[in-house]
Amino acid sequence: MKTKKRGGRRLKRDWRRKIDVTDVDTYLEGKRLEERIGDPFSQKKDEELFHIDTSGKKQKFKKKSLNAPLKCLSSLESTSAIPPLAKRSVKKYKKNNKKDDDFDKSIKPLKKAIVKKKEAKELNKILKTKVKTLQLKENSTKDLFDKDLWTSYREPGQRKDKLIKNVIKWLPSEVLNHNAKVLPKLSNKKMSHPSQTTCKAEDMKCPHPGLSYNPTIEDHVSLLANIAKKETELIKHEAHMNRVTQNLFKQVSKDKHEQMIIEELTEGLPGFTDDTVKEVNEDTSEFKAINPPATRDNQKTIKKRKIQRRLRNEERQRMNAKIEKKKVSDLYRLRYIREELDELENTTNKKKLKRLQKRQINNISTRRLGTNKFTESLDAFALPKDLKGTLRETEPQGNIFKDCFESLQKRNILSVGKKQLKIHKKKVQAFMDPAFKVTPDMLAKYSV
Amino acid sequence: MPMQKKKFQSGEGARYVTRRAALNKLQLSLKDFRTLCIIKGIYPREPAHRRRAQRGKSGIHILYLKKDILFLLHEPMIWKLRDLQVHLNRLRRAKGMHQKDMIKRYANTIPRVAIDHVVKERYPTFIDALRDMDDALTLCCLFATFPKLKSIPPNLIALCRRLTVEFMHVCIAARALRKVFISIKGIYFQVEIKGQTITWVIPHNYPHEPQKKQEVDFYTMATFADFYSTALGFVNFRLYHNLNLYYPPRLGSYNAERLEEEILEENETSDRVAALNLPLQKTAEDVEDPADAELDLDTFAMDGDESKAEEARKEYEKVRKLKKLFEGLKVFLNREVPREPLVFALRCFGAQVSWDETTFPEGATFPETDETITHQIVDRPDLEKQYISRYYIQPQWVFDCVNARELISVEKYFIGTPLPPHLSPFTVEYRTQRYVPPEEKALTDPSVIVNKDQELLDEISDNDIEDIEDDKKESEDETMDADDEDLDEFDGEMTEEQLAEIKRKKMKVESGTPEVINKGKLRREHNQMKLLKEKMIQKKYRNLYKSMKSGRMKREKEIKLLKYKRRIHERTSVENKRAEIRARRAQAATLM
Repeated sequence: MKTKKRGGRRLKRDWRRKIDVTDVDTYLEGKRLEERIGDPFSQKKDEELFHIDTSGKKQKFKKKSLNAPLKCLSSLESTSAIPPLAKRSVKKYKKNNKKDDDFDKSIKPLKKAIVKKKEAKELNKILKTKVKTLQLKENSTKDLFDKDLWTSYREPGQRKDKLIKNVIKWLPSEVLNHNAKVLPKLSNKKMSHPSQTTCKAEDMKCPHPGLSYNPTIEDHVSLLANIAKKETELIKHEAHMNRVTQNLFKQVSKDKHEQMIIEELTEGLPGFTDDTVKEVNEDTSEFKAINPPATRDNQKTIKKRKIQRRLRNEERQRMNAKIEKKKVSDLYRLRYIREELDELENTTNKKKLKRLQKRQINNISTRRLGTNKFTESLDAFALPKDLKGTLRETEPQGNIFKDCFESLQKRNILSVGKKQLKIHKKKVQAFMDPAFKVTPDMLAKYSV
Repeated sequence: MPMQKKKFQSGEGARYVTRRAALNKLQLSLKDFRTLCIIKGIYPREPAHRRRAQRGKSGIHILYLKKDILFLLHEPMIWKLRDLQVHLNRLRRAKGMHQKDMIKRYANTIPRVAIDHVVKERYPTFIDALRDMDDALTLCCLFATFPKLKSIPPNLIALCRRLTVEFMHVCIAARALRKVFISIKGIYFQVEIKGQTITWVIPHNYPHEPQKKQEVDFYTMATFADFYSTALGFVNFRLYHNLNLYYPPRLGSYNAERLEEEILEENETSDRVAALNLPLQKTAEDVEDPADAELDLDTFAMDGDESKAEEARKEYEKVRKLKKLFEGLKVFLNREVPREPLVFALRCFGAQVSWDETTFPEGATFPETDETITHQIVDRPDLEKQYISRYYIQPQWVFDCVNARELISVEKYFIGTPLPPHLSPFTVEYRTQRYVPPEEKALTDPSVIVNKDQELLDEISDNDIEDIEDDKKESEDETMDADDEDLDEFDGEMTEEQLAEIKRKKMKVESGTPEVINKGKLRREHNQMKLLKEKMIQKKYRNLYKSMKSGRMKREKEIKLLKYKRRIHERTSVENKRAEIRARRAQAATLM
């Protein structure tokens, strides 16, 4: 140890300057070297370093394998006995590489059946490509039904979920609320599916017996009667609508309409109307304002006024008397008022009940979900001449796809949309490159 | 001043949201929202007061419950849908930019939106799922018949076909078919699985007719089909495993060569499976066959309602017999007959089926020349070469047998004969009092045999006809006289017994006498009770009761009259025939 140096003690650097640590460093360096190379020779036993040759034969040198690393690279190899901390960039090989081996195993039975090796190889190739395409297809489609949804058996992945659920079960709500902030998963309660009762109409279930390809006469007649009834109703409704809308207005031919318009627009213009007739009219009629001013001439006489006043007073007195009378009679009626009130309550209750019932019925039936109202289309039917009575000759009627769609609408699952009469295509605006434009000069140039 | 209450902050106005508001809340496009709603089973609602629910706005908006939308908000599928949108945008851009490698990459890695959990969520139990299979099967069967269309994803059609065929296979294995009805729309099938009846329609086997786009929204229906096909897949999986079958169905004989063929096949549904003709391979060997499965029904009723229990037992017995209806039959289908529905109907009850190999290459098990064939199903007026060893019948026989739950005699269904009407098994008999002709009775209840003319000829002697005419008068007289006669009889018996009693010693074991039930008296008492009851009817219901009674009487009279007419008709026809025979005999005698 050297003697102490004098210096400050305030800062870190003062302290560094003061202390000499070379001895410690050298010791540590030696220790590290020892770790890297191993124990020093001095500490090793003789048996480890030497061995006694008792056979006396010359040892053959092994041929260096081709796989051995080159000598020039030996300097790059680490000689340290300490294993590296971690490999940093390691490529992770996917497990998919195994696929081919598996595949070869699975098609072993095929190999047995085929004798020639060449053929086997070719077939293998084809099969491999086929399987690959199939696998690709399968990956793209979602038809993997490989589990039972409705068993209590849980998949390995579900474990955590269940644990959380179990924990939630017995933890008090305050604790849960407190922890919900820390463990967001705990608060992630599952919402239950909202119950939604759809319309009870199940028309798909019960086909009319008259729809049979070979029905009895009664059934067929009843089916046709049903349809005819609906159709006549429709026709009647249409006629009514026509009467109410179209037939209300006079229908005029086009020429007449034009003439009428011209007449209307030229009303009072000089040169278009007959002035002579007008003049005659003006001569005969006296001028009269719509609301002529009041004059002193038709003033009420005093007598008339008096009579009116008397009548008014009498009327008022009569009314007052009536009210007084009613007051007295109401006193007698008091005991009946209670009954009346009860009755009123009863009627309102009944109305309420009726309204509720109506609402319930409405809930079951088809409701209006959107702008358009649902109208049931006519059922399919076959006319008697179309019924051949054999399965081979029956012509299918109706459209099941449409029925499906309409039944969904009927059960309030889909809202009724607008019928798309046109398919709206995007308008694509076309531009022409100005270089390709054909001008009259060019036409003249090429003498077209 | 208290806080002012704002309008529509509570009540109906707060409970509903418009579709536009829902879209904003969920941050989805309308297309995605529609898909999501269909898959999750959220439908628009009609409020009680539209004006209030629309927050004072007029017109009709599509409204959803706010609760429902909040429920949708928690669905993890939404994120998938958003990802999908981004992915499709990228794909579209790549296409626009003509970047081939990018297109390939994006097209191959379109994220899959899994809806397995939604199936479980919507159908918490397996029974729930079965209950909703009606729509699913109808839609899937329909989609299976479609060609490749622009608005329907191509793999969906193949998937639907596969799933419906698999479901049919499971029905065959479980012997679940109960009713069949051929309508002009399609063929209705009803199966019973786990106590649930599932009814669906299969369209007639005709080429696809292009649909009008304005009538049906294809995109919406494709979404429905998508959901239903997933549900059907899981239902199939469970059904197969319940019956101890391999789920992607494996057919009985499975060897290396077959495997090779199946791998090489392009279609996702192999024809061998679609043939419906080979039994499925089981995972366990010694399992009870569903056809032989027997249930020990309790002989005593739990609730004391014995008649119901008895009915249930009878029904069960009928179904047990129905399951083995066609057992032992060997049926060959001619080529003009619709193969799939017939094979399904026949195999569901244990028949062996085959067909012409040229019509459907796979699955035919025996040729037409096989002498052990019992029935050949033909749908043409005549056939050139016929074997004596088999019946040539029309396809309706199979379906009528299934509906009648018994093997009907084949005579009416022979080749070329006009068929009896094909009745619907789905009708609910609402009118109890009506005339049922014996032919119709025989269709529903096979124990009733329609009297044939020949039998009548043998049975009835000449005098019988007169007797029958008198029958009616007699019955009327009986009712009138019954009272007096009964009284007399009764008195007479009493005196005899008393006399006998006096003769006998008192302490002696008496031999038992059969209890005499006085039917007339009973009837009389019953009538009296009925009259008393009628008197107790309230005044306001009295007229209704009267009209009901008169209606009943009228209907009874009608039935009686029709029966009587029928009888007369039968007699006259028999008479005519008999006269004919006599005339013929007389002719023969003169010739002799």
